[in-house]
Amino acid sequence: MSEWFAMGGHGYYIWASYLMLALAVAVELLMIRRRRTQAIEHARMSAEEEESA
Amino acid sequence: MTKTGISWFRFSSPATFYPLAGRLVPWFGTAAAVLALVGLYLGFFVAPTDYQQGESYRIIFIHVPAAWMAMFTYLVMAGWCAASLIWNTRMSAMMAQALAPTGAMFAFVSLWTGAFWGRPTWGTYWVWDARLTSTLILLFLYLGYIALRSAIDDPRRADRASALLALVGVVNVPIIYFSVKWWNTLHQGASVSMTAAPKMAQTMLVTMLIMAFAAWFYTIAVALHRVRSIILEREAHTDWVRALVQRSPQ
Repeated sequence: MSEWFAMGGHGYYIWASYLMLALAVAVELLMIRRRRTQAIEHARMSAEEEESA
Repeated sequence: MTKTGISWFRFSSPATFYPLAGRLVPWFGTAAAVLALVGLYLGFFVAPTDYQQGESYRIIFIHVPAAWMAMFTYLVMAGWCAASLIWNTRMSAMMAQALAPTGAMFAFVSLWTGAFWGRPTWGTYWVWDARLTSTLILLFLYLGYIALRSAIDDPRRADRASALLALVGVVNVPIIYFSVKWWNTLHQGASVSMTAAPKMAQTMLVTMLIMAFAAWFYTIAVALHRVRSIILEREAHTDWVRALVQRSPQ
């Protein structure tokens, strides 16, 4: 198992690459979720402002 | 338009496109996840060790798809920008806006994975070689596009200014693509070509293509998800968005 992770001595380079991709995708997925929540919140607030005006 | 069939221009209206995009996101997202899992399995457990590079070549399965996606996304983004300048359609500008962060992400990942592949293969993380430099410029073009958009408050003016920037920058894409032919670079030549037999083993090629499709579907899913938020942001004043958010949308 640990031999597999070592990847013939190239483990550091391989996992640094794959982990960065995983991290970048995770960050992007979090960002699009947060953007949606904020967009809905913003639209809801502007709708309420309009109603009370 | 033709009298029969689907009227595609109907989808250029944000109110029509919003629910359609919402239905498409889970399909593309699932396809991306399944393909990525299959690709990772093939890449790590089926594809053989490279006789020249050893195991480090396995970075190719994410490096090449990320680099392709970064270039291709830029072309699509520039296409939407051109459409928004020519027809002044709001949806086109929003699609371009939705693609830019994902393109930047893939440009960054292709540079990063390239560095970590270059180190064991060439002995260096970075050289100012034509392909690496032009890919770095691609990342800066994406970031410049995003920064320019966010610097202009009026969305329609931001559409036009950023579309011009994106269109000027499109000249960089063929430079990246042909850089390994035009200049003497440290970067290896194309591994896959339309005209010549692939220079790699069948399993490696298939795995790389599966990962490339995963990247495609991922980009489509994320861009469609993001464009829905952009629609809500920019159409917040319209009756349909108000009605939608008051019904608490999913």
